[in-house]
Amino acid sequence: MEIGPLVRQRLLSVQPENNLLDTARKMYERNVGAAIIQTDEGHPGIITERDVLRAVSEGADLASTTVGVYMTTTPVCATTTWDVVEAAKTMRRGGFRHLIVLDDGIPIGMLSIRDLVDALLEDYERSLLP
Amino acid sequence: MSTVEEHMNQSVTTARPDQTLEEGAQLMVERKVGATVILTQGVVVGIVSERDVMKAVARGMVPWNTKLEDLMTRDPVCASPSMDVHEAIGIMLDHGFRHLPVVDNGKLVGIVSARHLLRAAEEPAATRAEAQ
Repeated sequence: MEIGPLVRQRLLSVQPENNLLDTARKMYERNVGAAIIQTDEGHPGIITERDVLRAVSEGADLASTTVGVYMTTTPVCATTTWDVVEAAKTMRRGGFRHLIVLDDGIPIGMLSIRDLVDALLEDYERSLLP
Repeated sequence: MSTVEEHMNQSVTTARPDQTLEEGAQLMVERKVGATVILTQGVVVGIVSERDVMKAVARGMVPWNTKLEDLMTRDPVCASPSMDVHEAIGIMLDHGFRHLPVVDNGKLVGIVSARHLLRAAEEPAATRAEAQ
C-alpha cells in the first residue's frame, strides 16, 4: 500500500520569522500537527507540535519567539510512492511524526503518524476479520 | 490474540493536576513521550497530550500560570491489561485517541499508545505486501 492516498495535500505554510504563538494558533485552527517552511535554500523546513511543546518546556515567550528558532531545517521527506510500512518504520526509528511529501522535489503534502496509524490499524483490523 | 499488556509501556509519565503546563511540557520532553497521565492519590483523573498543550497555547493560556487540570482531558477512557489489542485499536480509532492509560483494579499499570500498536500493525502489513 502506497502512502499517496493518505497524504494531506492542504499544507499549512509559515515563515521562519513568524512567531510561535500565531503558528500554534494556525496549527490548532487547521487541526494539523505540523507546518511547512519554504526557504530560499530549496529544501523545506518543518515546525511541529512537538517543537511548540519544547518551546513551552523551555519557558519561551511564544509571542516573541520565532519559528526559525525551533524549526527543523532539513527534515526527512518522502515521495507519494513510499510504502506505508517504510513510512511507519522511518517515523518510528527517526522519532518523528510528520513527513513532508515531495513530488519532483516540490512539497505537495504532509503525512502524519496519525493518518498512518489510522490506515495501518484499519488494515490490521481488516486482517483479523474471519 | 495479543493483549494490551503485551504492548503497553509500564513506565508511565505522570503528573499532579496542580502542576503547571510548563512543568507538564518539561516532563513530556524529558521522557520523550506524547502524553502524561494525571493522578490524584494514585487514581487516574485525566490525561494531557501534545495536542492538549497546542490547544491551550493557541487559546492564550500562559504555560507557567496554567494548571494541568485546566487543560487535561478528564476521566479518560482507559484500557485493562487483559483487553484484546483489537478492542484497544477500536477505541483509538473510534475516538481519535493516541494514548490509553492501562488500569488494573483501579491502579495505573501502564500506557499504550498508537505508536506501540503501530509496531504490531506493521508486521502483518509487511507480510501481506511480501506475499503479493
